[in-house]
Amino acid sequence: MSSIIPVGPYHPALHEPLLIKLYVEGELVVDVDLRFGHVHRGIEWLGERRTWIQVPYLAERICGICGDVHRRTYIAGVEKLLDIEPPPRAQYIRTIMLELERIHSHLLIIAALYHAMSFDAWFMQIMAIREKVMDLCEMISGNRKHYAMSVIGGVRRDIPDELKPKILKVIQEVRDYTRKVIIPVMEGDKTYQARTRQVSVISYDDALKYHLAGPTLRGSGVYSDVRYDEPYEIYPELEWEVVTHPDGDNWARMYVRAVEVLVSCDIIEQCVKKLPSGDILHPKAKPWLRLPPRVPEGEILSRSEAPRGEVVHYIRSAGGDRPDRWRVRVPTYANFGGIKPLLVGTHVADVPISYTSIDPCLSCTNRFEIVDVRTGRSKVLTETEMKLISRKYTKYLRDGVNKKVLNI
Amino acid sequence: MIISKLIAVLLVPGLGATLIFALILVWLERKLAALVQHRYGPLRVSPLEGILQPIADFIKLLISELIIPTESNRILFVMLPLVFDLTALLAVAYLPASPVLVIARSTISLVIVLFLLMLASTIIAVMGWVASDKFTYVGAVREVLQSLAAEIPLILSLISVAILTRSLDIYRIVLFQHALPIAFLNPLAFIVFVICALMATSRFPFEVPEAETEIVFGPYTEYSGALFALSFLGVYVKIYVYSMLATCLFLGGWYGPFSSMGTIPQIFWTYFKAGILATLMVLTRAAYPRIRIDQVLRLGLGTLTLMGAAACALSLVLSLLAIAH
Repeated sequence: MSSIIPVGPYHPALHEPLLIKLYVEGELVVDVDLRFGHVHRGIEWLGERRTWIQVPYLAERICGICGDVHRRTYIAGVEKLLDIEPPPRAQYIRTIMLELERIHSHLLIIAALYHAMSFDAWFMQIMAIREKVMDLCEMISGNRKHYAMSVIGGVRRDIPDELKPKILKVIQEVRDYTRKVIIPVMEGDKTYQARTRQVSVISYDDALKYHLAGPTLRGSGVYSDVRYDEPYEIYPELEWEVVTHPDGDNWARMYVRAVEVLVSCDIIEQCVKKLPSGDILHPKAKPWLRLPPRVPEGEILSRSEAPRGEVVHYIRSAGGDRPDRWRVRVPTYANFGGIKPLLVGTHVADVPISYTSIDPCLSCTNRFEIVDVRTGRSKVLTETEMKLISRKYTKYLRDGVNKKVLNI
Repeated sequence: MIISKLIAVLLVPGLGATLIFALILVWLERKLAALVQHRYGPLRVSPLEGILQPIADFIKLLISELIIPTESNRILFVMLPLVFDLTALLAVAYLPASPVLVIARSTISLVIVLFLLMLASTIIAVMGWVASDKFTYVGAVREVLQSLAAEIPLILSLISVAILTRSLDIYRIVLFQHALPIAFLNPLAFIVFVICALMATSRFPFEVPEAETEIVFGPYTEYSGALFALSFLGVYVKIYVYSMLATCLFLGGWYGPFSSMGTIPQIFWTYFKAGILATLMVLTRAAYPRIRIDQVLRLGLGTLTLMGAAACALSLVLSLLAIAH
């Protein structure tokens, strides 16, 4: 006899709205059900009504943490359709931004995990070191988030030479802090280990079976990284390695992230030291800063490794000045497949920690489609229809009219 | 005599001292945790670093809307926080702040205080059950389990004090320590007592029943306004009672480093020791994450119970040696 504990849509453990229905026996979770869709924004729909050079700004806003990787993935796809390649200096700068983003995203989720177990002192310490990375991003791009660095055919801003020592200094600080404080605390703190070791174990086979992505996948010992499997930008020219850990529990997932911060520091350092001189924009791409290009007909699947895992952008062009179809698949969508092996069998007390350990990002994930249960047909609503439904529902809430008015 | 009793009831160690102690402790907890966490903490409402913030919060809570869940038992829902406060406050009656300032004395005062403290835990569990909400229910079950884990080693550590002093009267136990506090004689019992006090008052790392990121606010989830203020106050009164009890039983009560003292220095020493203990108890927030309920049970019923038994044995040996001399 199980009872249901609702976690969400609004709950202190969640950073974004989502309903996790926990079927529990005592404190043991025996089944789990997910409901999401509270933060759907219709970005793909909007993107298909904007020009090729407007979409990147929208793509960046898919995620509040890892926006730059969405922008880069979209732009790389368009560049392939246009058959141009950005100059090497632009590729180096893109790599630096991607890795800075990975560092601050990983530090954020490590901090959030400590918050999930109410270790707020340590949460604030990690956020303090993350703040330095955010300031660095602002120095380079002008923004803490949403850098808007990549444009079709190159990057928007150059990294001047006088900024290089500053970058190296911050990277050294972050590396020292991670190596000397964050990782030793993970390895040494008994209370932390008691909460994360052997909890929510996802085995190697399960990780493959449920199509997990990113550090969640590598935390189960699977050697998979888009930067390594299908190299882009200048990753093949640099020395770095894919981080994996065989344990597959919460601890291993967070450990992989902490070590990836070190790897990202190495990558940025190499990039800054090797940064070649030259243009930052392809000569053909200059007019495209203002005018949308006409992209030849075709379709492309563009992949990148976001901090949370593999991001896939599908772009189809009908030859016009705007995408015919743009579809995004984000890593959290893949990771939610593994929510059952993750949560079933744990305690209610472990749920916030295990849930945080897959680094969920819901604003990226939400999709919306209306399926008529009787006929099995699905349809997408237009903006006017959505507004009508919304008004009807408001009226229903206000007047308490018969629910049949809602006839969706 | 009557005047000293009146002072004891209304000021020290009764109502006045309890309220001020609780309010200062709330402020100290927020301020010190903020210092550790790169924050400012309360800053505005005050002559000194936001020290009046808890009072402002208390007034705000008293005048905000009171929401009572429709499915709860209304009478019990409203009464329980009051009963909780009263139970915790009653325990103060047997705790001496100085030789003259003690509200009531009894030859079995230790047993009475222990009973009242355990009753307070039970009332928290009933509070969670009455509110008829899933989070409060989970919180109530955890509270029951946690108080179970805390009580057995707690009783063992108190028994070891009773064996050593051959008394169940808190007042006489303080008198026993005029030369040397029991914390030095039997440090094991003191350690067990402090850890159990952390458990029984739901401080970190045993903040399991309230667990904000898991079950919102545990047994108190449905309480709002004045009732929430009362139950919140009750928790801090409990901390006051535990730290005063530890001061009387283990740290030598009102005795200071100088042999003869007036009433004022005696009160000072009592509250100095109790204050430091209480501050340590709330400051664990900055040093520990929360552990899981099964880990609490394993610690309480395993390690701590064994330590408590060892403390009893140590007391027995010391007591026999004292007879031999």
